Amino acid sequence: MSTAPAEVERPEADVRPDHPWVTIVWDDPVNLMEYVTHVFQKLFGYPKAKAEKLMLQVHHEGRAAVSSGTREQMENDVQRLHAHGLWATLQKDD
Amino acid sequence: MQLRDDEVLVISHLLAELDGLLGGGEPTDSAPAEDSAPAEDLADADGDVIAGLNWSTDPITAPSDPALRRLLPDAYPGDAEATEEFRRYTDATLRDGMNADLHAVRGSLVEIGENGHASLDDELAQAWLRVLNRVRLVLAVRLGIENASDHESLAGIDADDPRTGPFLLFEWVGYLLSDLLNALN
Repeated sequence: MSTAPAEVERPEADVRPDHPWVTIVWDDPVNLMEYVTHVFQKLFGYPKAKAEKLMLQVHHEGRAAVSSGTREQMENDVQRLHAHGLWATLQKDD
Repeated sequence: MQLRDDEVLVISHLLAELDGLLGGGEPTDSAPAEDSAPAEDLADADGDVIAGLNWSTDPITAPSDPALRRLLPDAYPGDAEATEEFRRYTDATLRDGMNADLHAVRGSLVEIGENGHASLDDELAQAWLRVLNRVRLVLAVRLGIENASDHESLAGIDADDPRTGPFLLFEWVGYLLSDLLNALN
């Protein structure tokens, strides 16, 4: 079975200071770590190492900014994360 | 995907519960108006292709059932107005996606019931992952799992505790999800 991400929409999406909005994923005690990693790879096209790093940040720090961009882009990311059962919110980047 | 008959039965019960929670809606791929390929219907939850057709003009409040609220959480914590607006734009699409996933998984479960196994293409495997994960999220809410220590204390409950059954299901679905992820990677 293919492991190539089939749903890459904005491979350049990343956390950058010039992006005004961020999508935050919050830790929960239910989602499996490998599932969360899988979702980050699948939705954002992140390489496995980056997806794992973000997953671990969620796990250890309670939250992580997983993407940044316009408000509309972040709403779309939050919607896609909700579709995969992740607890995601968006906010203006501080 | 390979399952025994008794496992097929347990999963079909869990799917029925999830279906009940979601309101038993039919996936929109049965709607005649939309000119979209079947492949796109399954991907609704991931794309914004038809999101524009699915907006509600009425206010949509957060679900009162905490399990459903976990599946459809607030997008803007502390901002009720923005959260409500987000729900108006996304709620129907998200629910349609969940129903479509359920529909797809049920189809392959029938096949597994008949043959003992079914081969899942990537799209169907992703639907299975999302559905198994949703089942776990719902069971966790019912079991009151809110943090890691809740989970640990459930592992030590007595066999006659009424939570034992749901907790064993929760753990078992976790193994299924993990196995499926390993098979995909």
